[in-house]
Amino acid sequence: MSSVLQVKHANKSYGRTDAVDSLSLELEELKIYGLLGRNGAGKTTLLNMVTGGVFPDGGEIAVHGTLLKKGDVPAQICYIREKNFYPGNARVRDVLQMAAAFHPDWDAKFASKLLGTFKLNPRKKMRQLSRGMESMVGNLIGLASRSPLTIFDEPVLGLDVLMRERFYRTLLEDYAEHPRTVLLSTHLIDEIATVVEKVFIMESGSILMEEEVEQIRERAHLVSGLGAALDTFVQGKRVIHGERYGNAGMAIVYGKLTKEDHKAAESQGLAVEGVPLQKFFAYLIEEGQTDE
Amino acid sequence: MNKMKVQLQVSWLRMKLAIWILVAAIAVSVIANFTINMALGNDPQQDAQDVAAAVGELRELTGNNDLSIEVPSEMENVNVSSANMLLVLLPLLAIILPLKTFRPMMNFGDSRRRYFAGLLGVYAVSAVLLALVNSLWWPFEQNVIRTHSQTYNLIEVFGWEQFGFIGAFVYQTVFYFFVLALFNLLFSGLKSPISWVIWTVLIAAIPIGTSIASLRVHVADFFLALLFNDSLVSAIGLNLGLSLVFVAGAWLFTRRRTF
Repeated sequence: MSSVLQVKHANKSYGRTDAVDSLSLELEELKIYGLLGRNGAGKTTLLNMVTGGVFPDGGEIAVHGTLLKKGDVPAQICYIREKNFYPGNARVRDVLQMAAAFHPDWDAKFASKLLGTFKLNPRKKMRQLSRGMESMVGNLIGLASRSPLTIFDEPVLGLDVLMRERFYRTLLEDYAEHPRTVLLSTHLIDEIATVVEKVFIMESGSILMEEEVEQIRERAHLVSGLGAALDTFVQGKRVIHGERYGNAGMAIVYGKLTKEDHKAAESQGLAVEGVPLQKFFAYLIEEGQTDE
Repeated sequence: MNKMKVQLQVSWLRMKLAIWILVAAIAVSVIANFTINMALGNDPQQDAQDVAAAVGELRELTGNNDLSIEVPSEMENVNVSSANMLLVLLPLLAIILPLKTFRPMMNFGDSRRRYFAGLLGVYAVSAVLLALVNSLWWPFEQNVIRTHSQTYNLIEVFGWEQFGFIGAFVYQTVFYFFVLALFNLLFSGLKSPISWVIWTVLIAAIPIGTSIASLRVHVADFFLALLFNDSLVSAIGLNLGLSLVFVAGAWLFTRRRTF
């Protein structure tokens, strides 16, 4: 599969702070990706660089095979920012018409349908919308743009659970009919786990982990039991996080556990369970912090 | 809808409030002036005739034909032409548009190059429209407005009427574009240290230029050439030439402007 976006050793500093530090990633076409990281991890700076909003201090960015030069805005890309910059006195329908002018694959019928799906009043002015409804206008534009590379930055900000699910379901349904590359930037891994195929986990401006979601599910384990047995079991394995409670303890182990490993754990009275992705994500970032 | 139309719509949405406030202020000013003049029975043409008749009588009585009456300027009630008041839009446009339309257009996915070209298009159309309004207003002002109130208009202040209707219109258009380009340059790169230097130089230029005698002549010559030029071609050349320099400067800021 050909690459839609290639970032090689990109850097960006604001004063003495490294917002993005020698970061590399590659997105293939027709896949849904997740970009995960805490607030301030550098996700928005990375996305702004990729879409030509800010310029990297170093490194290379290529979108659809074209190297992005300073000041360029890549074509065939739709970036839905966390904070919308649509004129507050514009009506929703005007914003949609305006957005259509910038996306050659815009589907007006689909946009009209989504107004109903997301319960948006096209006559309402942008400044009259709640935070969640603002997010929905952006999400609608991202979906209706049918852009070969669509990027959503915190797409469910301010949305209730029902609307979040509706957005992810609509995204998946539309993706099934019109496959394209989608990048979802968020800090809520559990919500996107069923949507994305692969995740990039960012911390302090770098990629901490790049993995298929299924792989993470298979490889992340919570092992608990007596401290001595636990220590023996985790030797030579990648321990993401560990805690002790007197004689007992727990460890988050990342890696493939063989049948023998499971048997050994059982024989030593250790319990091995899966880890909820959100917890794994939090522990992984904690580890990243400690490593520094 | 194409990208240029989007830019026009975004510009209109951003300018709407300022335009309505300005139009309302002009309307209130015109109504207030008209009401005061009517209440005081003020008729500038009649006043001028009365003064001329009184001077004639005095000359006859005294036998002094050199006798004249000078009305102190502070006694006169002269108003700015309503069409000229609209020109406040020039700085407003060139301040609000670069500050308030760059992000929305980039957010839609516009490129810096197309955005900047569109912005220049908005300025050019605005300069033409404002020049046209003032040119059409000018005969109306002379023949109708001045029967009940005294006004002054840039066209006569700068002597642009000497070039005829078309000439005055063209002179205004290039000068208005010059003003737009200058303000656009100043407000396109507010984050850039180079922009701060330009601001400082411009702020310092007039007091320094007018306080040093040797420079004062050049400053005066510059403004004479820019505004009171007796050659329309030379005026167009100077205004457009400087505008091009400002446009080039603003582009250098815009092409490196971040979101």
